[in-house]
Amino acid sequence: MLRFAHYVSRITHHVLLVCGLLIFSATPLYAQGPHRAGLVVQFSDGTVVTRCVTFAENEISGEDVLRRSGLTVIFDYTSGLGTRVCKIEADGCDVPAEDCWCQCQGSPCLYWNYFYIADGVWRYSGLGCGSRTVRDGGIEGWVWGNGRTPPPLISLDDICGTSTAANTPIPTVPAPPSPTPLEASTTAPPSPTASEPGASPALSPTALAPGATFTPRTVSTSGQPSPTPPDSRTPFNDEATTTAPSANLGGYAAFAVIVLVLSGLGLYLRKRMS
Amino acid sequence: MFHPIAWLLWLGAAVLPVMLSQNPLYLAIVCLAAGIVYAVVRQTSPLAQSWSSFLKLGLTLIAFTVPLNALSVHAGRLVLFTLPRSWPLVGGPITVEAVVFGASKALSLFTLLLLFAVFNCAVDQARLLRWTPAFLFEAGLITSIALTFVPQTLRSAQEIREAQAIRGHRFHGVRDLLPLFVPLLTSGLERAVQLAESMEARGFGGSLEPLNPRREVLIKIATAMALLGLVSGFFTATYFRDQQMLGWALLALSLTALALVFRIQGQRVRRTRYRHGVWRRRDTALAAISVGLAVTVFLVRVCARTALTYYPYPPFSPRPPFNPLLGSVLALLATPAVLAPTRREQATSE
Repeated sequence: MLRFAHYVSRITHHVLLVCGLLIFSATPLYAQGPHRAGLVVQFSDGTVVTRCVTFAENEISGEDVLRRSGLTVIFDYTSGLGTRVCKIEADGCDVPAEDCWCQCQGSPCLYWNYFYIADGVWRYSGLGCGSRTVRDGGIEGWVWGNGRTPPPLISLDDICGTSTAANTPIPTVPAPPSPTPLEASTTAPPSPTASEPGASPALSPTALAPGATFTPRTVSTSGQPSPTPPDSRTPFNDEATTTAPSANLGGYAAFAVIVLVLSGLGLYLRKRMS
Repeated sequence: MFHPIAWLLWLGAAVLPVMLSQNPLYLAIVCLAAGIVYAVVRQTSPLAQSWSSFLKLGLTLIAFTVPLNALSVHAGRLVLFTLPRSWPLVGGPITVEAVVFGASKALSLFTLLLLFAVFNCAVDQARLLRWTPAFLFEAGLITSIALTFVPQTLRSAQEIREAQAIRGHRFHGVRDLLPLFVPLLTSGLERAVQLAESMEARGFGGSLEPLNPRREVLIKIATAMALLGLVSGFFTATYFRDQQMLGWALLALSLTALALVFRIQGQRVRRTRYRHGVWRRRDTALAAISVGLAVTVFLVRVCARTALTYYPYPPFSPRPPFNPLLGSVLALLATPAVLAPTRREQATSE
């Protein structure tokens, strides 16, 4: 009997130890300095834009990489089961007005394809950007296309570079043959106060206008890692939203009136019925 | 109260904004209007008891939908609190936007339930089934038999149970149910045979005009071809974007063919009516308002789609937009409650 109790205590001890190890490994360790992740975005006109995203956490989601990149991205969360990327800068679908896959409702199917680099090659991600985790050194790719062509292969050093290596063209991308290559604007490291995505210096409009004069691929690099905090922590800003609050106030008053009238009608009918 | 067709039009007009819009303010107006109609309709309906409990079940839907959306979507600027990121799926910021969107989804589901509760309480199924088109009369007949079969079976189960209880039988386990099932089965079979005999006595099946077998085969082939054309036309129009015209043409062609075939088939059935449904002036009013409302919502959807949509996540505002004109039009869904006769009127009319 005593022996049995001994075994039980030993087994419990082991189970506790394993559980403790699991918990220990699940909780993030110290954030060892800023981590870096690369972002490569290829637009419909062939323009390639790269961004270097730094983060203090051990791992972030692919969605966070896009959010912190400073690019204007429209996500769709309406399904409640995951995140869809509908629009990056000018390419894609305006979500509330049209469907998130407005260009993918038939045989020519165009949408934002999600890739990542593993073992030195681009792979099409089987997970959505909200579920995929990105660690230090990860490179994420987004291509407006049919899912068959990955973006050009770029190394993390080319994207993030050293602090002095800003503005250098990337060797893996074919160099523009025209004598005056249009460089997309390079982002200066935004100040930590300018946390709104629209406030950080984004791409110059000429670089993104479809059908603009340039045809060769232009590459923009943000040389220095930008310490952009996630926009979820930024304070709510009414100016940035599409509907002005003052214009809505009259509408809400009308809504209250309609609800009051309907409620009064309901009460009256109830009296009449009884 | 109203003609079944008028109720059908009202249901269509009410379901349309719920399906097209995610805006919680419009949904709230539709829900409120439907609630008023339900309060009036349930007083005269035998089904009100069961639908009320069903609606209570629908309320628990909200208790699931709102937390689910709030825990799974971590987007938005108005952060309530943050769960540790290491927690799978639910880890991350919990935002007001996600709660609001979950609530608006739950509201739309509940409104749909409420609308169908109103329709089922208000419309007598038998009266509605009389409006099945002539070529489908067999399906209508089967449906009406099935609809009467379930309450009849429940009633006879209750009767057998009581009869067995009087004899001292107690229902405890599964094995005790045998004395309930055997009489239930035999009584059900008896009823079916009785129904068949009475249908034959009334000349069921004799009203069909005889048709030579060759034409019958032709009609069957034509129906199959038209249905096939319908499916392939629809597929072509929606899938191949560069050949939409071909798809729509195929669709229109097969729809015409189908209508023609159904017309030929319907002509074979001669119908006699024992009771004629009365179409009163208030039915006309309800039908007109419903059609007008549906057309308005449809036009708004086509011309200004963003007026109906609601997307709280950034870069958009979590405050829903509201157009007073559209809101007042939607409030017209309470019309059946206003036009419905009072009890005194109903008593004098019947």
